Amino acid sequence: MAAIKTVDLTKKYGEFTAVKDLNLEIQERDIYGFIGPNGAGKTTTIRILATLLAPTAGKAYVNGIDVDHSPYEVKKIVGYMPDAFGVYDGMRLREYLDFFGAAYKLPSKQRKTIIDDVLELTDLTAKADDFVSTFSRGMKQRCCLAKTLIHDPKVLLLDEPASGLDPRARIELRELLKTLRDMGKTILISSHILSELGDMCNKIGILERGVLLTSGDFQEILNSIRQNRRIRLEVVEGADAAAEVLKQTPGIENVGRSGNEFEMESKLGHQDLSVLLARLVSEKIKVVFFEEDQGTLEDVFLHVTKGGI
Amino acid sequence: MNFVLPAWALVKREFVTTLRRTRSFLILVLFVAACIAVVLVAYPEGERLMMQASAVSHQVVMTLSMVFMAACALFVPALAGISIVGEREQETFDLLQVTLIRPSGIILAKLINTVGFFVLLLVASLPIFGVTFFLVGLSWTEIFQMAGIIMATTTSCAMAGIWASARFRKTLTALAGSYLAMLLVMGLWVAIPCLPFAYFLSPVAAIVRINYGGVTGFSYPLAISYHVVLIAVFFHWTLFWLRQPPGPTKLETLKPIDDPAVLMTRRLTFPFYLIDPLRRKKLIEDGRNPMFVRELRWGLMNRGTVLARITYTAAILYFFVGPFVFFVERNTESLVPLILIQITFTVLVAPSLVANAFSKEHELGNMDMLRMTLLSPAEIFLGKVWNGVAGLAPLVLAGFCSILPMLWLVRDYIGLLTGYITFTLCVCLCLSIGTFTSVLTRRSVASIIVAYLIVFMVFIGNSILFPFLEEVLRRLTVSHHAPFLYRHFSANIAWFLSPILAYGMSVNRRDQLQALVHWSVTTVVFIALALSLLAFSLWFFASRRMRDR
Ligand SMILES: Nc1ncnc2c1ncn2[C@@H]1O[C@H](COP(=O)(O)OP(=O)(O)OP(=O)(O)O)[C@@H](O)[C@H]1O
Ligand SMILES: [Mg+2]
Repeated sequence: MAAIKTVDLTKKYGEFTAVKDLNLEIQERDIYGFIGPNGAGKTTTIRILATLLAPTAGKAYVNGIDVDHSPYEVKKIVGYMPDAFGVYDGMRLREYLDFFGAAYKLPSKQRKTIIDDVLELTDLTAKADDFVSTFSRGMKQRCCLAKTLIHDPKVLLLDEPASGLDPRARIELRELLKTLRDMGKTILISSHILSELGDMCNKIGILERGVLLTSGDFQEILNSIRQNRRIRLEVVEGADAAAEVLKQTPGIENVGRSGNEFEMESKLGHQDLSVLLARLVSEKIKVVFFEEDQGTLEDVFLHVTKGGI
Repeated sequence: MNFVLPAWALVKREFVTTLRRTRSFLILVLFVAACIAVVLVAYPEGERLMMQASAVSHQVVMTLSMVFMAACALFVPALAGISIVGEREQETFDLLQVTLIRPSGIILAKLINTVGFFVLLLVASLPIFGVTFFLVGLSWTEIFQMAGIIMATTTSCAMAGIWASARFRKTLTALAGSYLAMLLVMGLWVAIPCLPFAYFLSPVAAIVRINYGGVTGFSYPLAISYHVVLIAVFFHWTLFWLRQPPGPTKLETLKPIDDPAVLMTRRLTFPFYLIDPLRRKKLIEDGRNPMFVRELRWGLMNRGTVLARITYTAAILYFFVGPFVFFVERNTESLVPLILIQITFTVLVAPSLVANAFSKEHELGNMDMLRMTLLSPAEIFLGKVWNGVAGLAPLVLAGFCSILPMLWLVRDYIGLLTGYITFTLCVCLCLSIGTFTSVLTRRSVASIIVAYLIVFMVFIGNSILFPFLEEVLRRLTVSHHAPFLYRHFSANIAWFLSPILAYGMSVNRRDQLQALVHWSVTTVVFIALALSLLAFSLWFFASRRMRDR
């Protein structure tokens, strides 16, 4: 069963269509990266899934539960982290989490240990007795994430959780999300920071002007937009010989050279590539670097979207 | 030019957006309608026309001017009071300050925006003023003098409001300051009778004087220069506050205290720590409404000092006024002023305590996280309402304490009982009206202003409006002879459109059982109103506010 599923989901604000006929399907234990330019409709979609916004048409299911019909059941299994949120004045972090724990109906006996756990998880233990309103933006972000995790939700909807985080915190967030995935959670995460999503997501969806342009396995999408893989080669000695070899190899095209470095497009499979490498070495060419260029989410993003809001 | 242009851009941005709103148009229409109604009622009928023309035209102009003054007193402080603080809260003020607009330009723009709409009202109702020209006995000088006073008052009220808006950092305080300043401008000085021309310092008194020919010598220039001075003073004061760098933000760095011994010494050295803010708070207990606990422990208790001050003031006020009036007047009617003071004070304080309950959550950006929890709409709603009850309870208690000595002094038990019930009812009405507006709107300022307007209508306004509308209707329809029974009925009913007036009636006619019955009916009706407002709010919150559309 899909953890998140939408069927022809549409949201209109008056005449303006923010989300149009969206069909998403996210499996359990996926980390699904939801990307798109500003105003694409990411927040709108996430808020519909979080039961906070009524769709104009279409259906949305979380764990098979209809968001429209049983919002209460959905709330039990969903953790939602909004992109913009406030904090209560005059509450200390521990008290703040205690309030949300109580609001999620956790028994007070368990609450204390759970709060300690999420504080540990989000690296906020040292701040437990500080006032939330004095936190920096990044710390508020973590505090909100801690709040989101407090009722151990199966599905996490994170709207730009990494904005405002410092590089270390971002890396930690990435590790945290992977841990959470290993704990069996499904994560839908929207972000603009593509390099990061690329590292942690196994699935992505690209949304533009309310339309889902592409969705699926990250690697597959990456491969589909570049039938030709890019190979990079660097040698210490024998660059000319290498150029000769490359020229002779069928399936290698568009070789670019700058000094001892080469860049080329290849139609070869893994097997043929290893043969090519063996040949280079056997020709006494000293190879230091032979790698397939992975391609990034940025490439996909620029390839798929058209720009303009 | 460098100075004028950017400021003009600000005027355009604000004034034009104000005018574009449907709300502005509605206010305009309502205002003109009200003016027409006033003229209709005051206009002499039939043969009386010729005989009393002069007196009547004075009366019409007088009433219209008073309508203007009332509108000025009601709306200008609200508009001006939020002008700067509103931008500060929405964090657009910093953006404004880094533009080329100078502080004085900002003030001027805000002033024009506030007064401008009012000038529009004045201009729109001029044709109605014109009606009075058909009547004799009024000179152009008088008309212009009155218009001058109205404009000067509006401007100085607006300037005072803008000052409050620049001076205070919280919308609520700024609004309160704005209304207080308005009261000052409007005529606190009448209280100094020994000053020659002092009455001219009160615009209301000045209008009366002009209308009845009391303008002598320097009094009119004095009145105008009074406002000019006020405007200048407030302008410079506002400038001062605008240039003031933002104060140091309160650093909340203190850790909670667990050690009971330390807590005890703190309590002993500073006896007001009945509830020590630093004492570590317990986990929220199972089975309790977390919303209510949060509001109580972190909302109400944090605001503890303010609430305590309000409660003490109320208690002292209530305690002394009653017996004082009793001993001065030496009659049992002294009950009425006591209860009236209690009610007035409550009505002034209560709506602002409760009318931002829900809108505050929207403004702080907490609503989404709150709605995502497993709290049911009823739990959230009731948590807020109970918190309102807890906030208002000290007022009711203070009122009750003040009743106790009266029990011994007055010995009018029924009067006391009905009085106290009326007082409690008024508190409940404030609570339900505040909750109602707070659920309906998303902005605290709007909610509070609307709450005050409704409270005003419920407590007094209806009783003024009803006979007034009736008279308008009577004049519009041909029949001048309403059946006697109907007249009798409508004369009485006005009193019972307000819980306060109903109470006053029942005390005045204490010997009549009928009055008591009327009071009971009114009370029951208003209790029903309070309850149905709450029920409607809950329904609205559950069905409309748990999910956006
Ligand atoms: N309450 C609203 N009323 C009217 N239009 C809205 C409302 N909320 C969002 N929109 C519009 O819907 C579109 C999608 O907004 P949404 O917030 O979902 O975008 P987003 O993908 O989250 O963008 P960003 O990356 O900037 O966060 C935008 O064009 C926005 O202007
Ligand atoms: Mg967004």
